Amino acid sequence: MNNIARHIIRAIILILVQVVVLKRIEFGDYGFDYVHIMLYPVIIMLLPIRTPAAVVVSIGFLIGLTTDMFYNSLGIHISAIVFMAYLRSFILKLLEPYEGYTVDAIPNISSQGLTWFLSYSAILLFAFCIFYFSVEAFSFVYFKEIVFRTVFSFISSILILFIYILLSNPKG
Amino acid sequence: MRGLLYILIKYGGFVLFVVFECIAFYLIIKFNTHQSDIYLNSTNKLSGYINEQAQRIDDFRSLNEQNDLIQKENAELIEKIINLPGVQLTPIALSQDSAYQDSSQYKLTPVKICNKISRLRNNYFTLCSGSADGLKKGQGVVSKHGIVGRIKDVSEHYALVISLLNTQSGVSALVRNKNYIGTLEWTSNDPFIMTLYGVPKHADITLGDSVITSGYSTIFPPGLFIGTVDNFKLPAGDNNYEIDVRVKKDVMSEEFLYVITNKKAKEQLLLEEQIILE
Repeated sequence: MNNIARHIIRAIILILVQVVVLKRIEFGDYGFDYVHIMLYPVIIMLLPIRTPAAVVVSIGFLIGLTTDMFYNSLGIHISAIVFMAYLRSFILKLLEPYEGYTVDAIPNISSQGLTWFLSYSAILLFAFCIFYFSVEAFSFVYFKEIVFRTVFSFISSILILFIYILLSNPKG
Repeated sequence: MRGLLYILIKYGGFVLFVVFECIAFYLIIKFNTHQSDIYLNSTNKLSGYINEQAQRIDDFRSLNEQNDLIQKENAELIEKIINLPGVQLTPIALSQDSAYQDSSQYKLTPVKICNKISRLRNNYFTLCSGSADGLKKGQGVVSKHGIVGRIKDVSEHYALVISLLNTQSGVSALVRNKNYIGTLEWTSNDPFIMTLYGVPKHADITLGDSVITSGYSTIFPPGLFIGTVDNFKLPAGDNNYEIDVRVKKDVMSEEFLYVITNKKAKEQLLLEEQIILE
């Protein structure tokens, strides 16, 4: 029960940070609109490893819906975060250590190691970014914009994500 | 029954994934196309409220700077009023002079920006005033640097403005002193460059000419400054110039906007409608 409450509170705080602070950050001069920091996907990443895929995907839908309301882009965040949530189980399987995960394993640095967490979060965040910016543009006519936004946003987001992880050191 | 449960546990994630993606794409198409951006206008109560609070914090942060700006702007305006030929009134006396007010056709309402939305080539403002403050669909929006956009939609407390930097913008404009009319659109990637279409090729355009509003619609009064001619070319086989117009300021960076109320707009539109009826 305590754990669930912790996840809910973390989700609310991270979404608020996303829509109130990170949404409003703009970099560079006019015409350079490529950096969008995405921190809230970390909510999905930090769910316990044994959470059923259906539950992860549903949580992703709810988070995406909330974020979309603030971004005025109904559907775009939902599609990207649901995609990432579904991908999560495959990435977990891909990165599964030889002896498997323990029953109550949590995907964080202290229990799985820094290398493991870096590849885990980087793959998921990159998948999120490329899906999000493709759907946002909705056409591959904007190929250059999609690539630039994905690359720059991914780099800045993973930095912020690691700062958040190292500062808060989530345990559950 | 056991089998069904097994399938649900095994494939539930995939089924839900497909269902949610379908919902998401339905929502994107329904609410995000440039034609039906109903959802865009932040009329959503909760997000509108939170955006407003966040903006309030922003405002507080830049209060000093904005105060200075307003003071400067006020000073400029008062200066203009005093310098008007034949009018030797202080601003306060002016506002009490009902005869003067009646004769002025355009009224400016200061408004605040609640939110700025930019999606690739389509930029919008959400204003923190709506129909309750007298705003109406189709009114023009200006800043002290020039025209900014027009109101696309109003709800009770919010209004959605299509900025100049939008594929749907399209302002009737003319080159000063030459009186050739064209339509101003944003087709470049540079927020400082607008393009004027429809000026015939026999017009003699020179670099640096001023481009102003034509006043042929009821949205903007005639003669508002838009920008200067930066570059022009004649596409092969075309009878009309494509003129690049350089504007003074990126409209998306404006902080203080004014909505123009044309007191005689209704009269003009009513009269023009009779043509259709005839």
